[in-house]
Amino acid sequence: MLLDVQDLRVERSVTGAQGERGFEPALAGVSFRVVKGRILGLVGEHGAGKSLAASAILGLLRPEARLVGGRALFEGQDLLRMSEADLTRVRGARIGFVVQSGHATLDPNTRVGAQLVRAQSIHRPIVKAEAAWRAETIMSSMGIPEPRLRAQAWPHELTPGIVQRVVIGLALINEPQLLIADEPTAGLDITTQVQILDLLHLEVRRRRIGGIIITRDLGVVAQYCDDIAVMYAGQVVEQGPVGQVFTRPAHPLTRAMIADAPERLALAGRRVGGPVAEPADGCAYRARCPDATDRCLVAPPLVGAGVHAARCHFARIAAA
Amino acid sequence: MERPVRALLRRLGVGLFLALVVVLTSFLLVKLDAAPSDVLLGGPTPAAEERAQLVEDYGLDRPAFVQFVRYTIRVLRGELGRSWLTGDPVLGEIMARIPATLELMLYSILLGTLIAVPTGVAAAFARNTAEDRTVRGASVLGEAMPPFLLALLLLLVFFRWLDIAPAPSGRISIVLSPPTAVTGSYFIDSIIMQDSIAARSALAQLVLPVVTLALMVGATLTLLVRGAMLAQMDAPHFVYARAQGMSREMLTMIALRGALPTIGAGLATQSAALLGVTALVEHVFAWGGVGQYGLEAMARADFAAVQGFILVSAAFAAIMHLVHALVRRIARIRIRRA
Repeated sequence: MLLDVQDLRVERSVTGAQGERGFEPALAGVSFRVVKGRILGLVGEHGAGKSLAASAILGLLRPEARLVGGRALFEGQDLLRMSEADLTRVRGARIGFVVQSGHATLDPNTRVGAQLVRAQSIHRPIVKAEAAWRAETIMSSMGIPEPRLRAQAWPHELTPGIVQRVVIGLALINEPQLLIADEPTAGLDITTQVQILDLLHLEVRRRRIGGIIITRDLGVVAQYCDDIAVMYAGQVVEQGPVGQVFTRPAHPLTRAMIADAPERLALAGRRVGGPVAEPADGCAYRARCPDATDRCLVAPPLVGAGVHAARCHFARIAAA
Repeated sequence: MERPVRALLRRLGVGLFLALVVVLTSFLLVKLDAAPSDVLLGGPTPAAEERAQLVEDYGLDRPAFVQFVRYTIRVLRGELGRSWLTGDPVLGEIMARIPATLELMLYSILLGTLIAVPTGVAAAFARNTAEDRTVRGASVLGEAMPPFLLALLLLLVFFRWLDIAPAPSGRISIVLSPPTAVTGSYFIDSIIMQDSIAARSALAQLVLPVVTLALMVGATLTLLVRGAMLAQMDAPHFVYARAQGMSREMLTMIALRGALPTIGAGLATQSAALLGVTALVEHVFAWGGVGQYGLEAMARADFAAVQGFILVSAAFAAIMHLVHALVRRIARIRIRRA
């Protein structure tokens, strides 16, 4: 087991109608696991809490969010209870992070090659020439043509596709054990999306490390992931191996998303009903669920057999 | 025409227009008075031939517009008239006092920056904690504090009670004679002349006024640094830098680099307004700089001197705003690149 997230709880500060400050749950007990050599697809609508979960694990929550509880065991150590100094040694070294919106993510005031060199220097003493050589090597293995020339470029001089390759290179240059990619292809054209996902998939396989791809696109999960965790309103509502979940989806949301895929999901990512409606208690999805009954006023348990489980009163899960 | 050139020309045009407005203001200051010739001569009983000479010089029997044009030409020639108190040319008196004021302002801006940058950075990293709130509270207090009051408080504590600061009697101890002028800074000139006693005295005299002004500068600048840092720290590339596992020092450098244009521009704007504050502090410490000169001229209705002070202040503000504009230009090039 590479990463074992258990009952992750995060609250977000909200300002009420009268201007009073309060906190509302944003992640209500999220659990998932990542195994070495496998890729987990963390999927859900906008605002389901996918990125928030990743930020919480890496200790990168924004000031308006706060951690309430849970554990995130990475190689046996709980990331949530680590000191900032210890976390700093994990981030970028043993967990690589690929973020969305590539252009804004690179330091605008530093040349691309220098950023790759700096990424190495963060975690170990380096010899400049060797680090520069490694930077060029990883650029070329990321499929960047003319790496020596590109290393001298400023981030704004590169196309979004190349920038995202650099970001993946930055995430991998210190040979992490886990790669987390948060919407790695957002804002890229379709051809580039496929290339970037192919690259991510290939690198995780080749290095035999664990991967998490956060996406709104079920098609991406089907094609590039081994396991899936479907999130809704701050909870994982269904999880399991991709094959089982796609052939026998147990949660109404998963079924709706699969029925809706691929085109509309891929396009908008916010289909399957209107805005996320969260009833105070009971099943969070019941307001939009076609199968909802009075039973759904009670919070559903996690129903499961083996690795496949769903958070629904009516889930029927066959043993694999 | 190339864009930067055109922008620079436009700025120059605006600058010229503003200069004209300043000269006009300075001119009207005298015009507003009921008996201009008396005012210009200053003394209550000008001799008849002096008066006639003055009417001739300034064209006081001519229309206001002609007077304004003549006045403008005089200003352009550097003829700012004579102080009625001393009878000396105003320009010379002001020039002699500029080094004292510049020295004070320069050290204050330096010290203020040295205080503000680390404090603002620390507050930004500690966003919304007690530490951050303390820094913000102290800064607001510093901004709200009248400069002369702060100066008097410091004098009370360090001169009167603790007796470790020298008397507020100018730029060097009254028993010493000022060093030969090279740069105009008593401290630096004393060092050049290898006069350690004078250097020590000049330095001691500098401490309290510089601290007063530095605290004023630092208070505003701290909030500015904090805000600029926070803007950087909310940017995606900063969050990503954290995800790479960068240390606090590296993160500070990245954010500070991005925040530098904002901080530089703010510093320039603040410096432009600093002369007014400096004047009050100079007055308390009997510093003998341009600010004190201007204040005293106002108190004595020494109009030629006041006019000169206005022009010099305006020129200084204009220079600082030009610096500000340049910093903004560089920043915009950076942003376009990002």
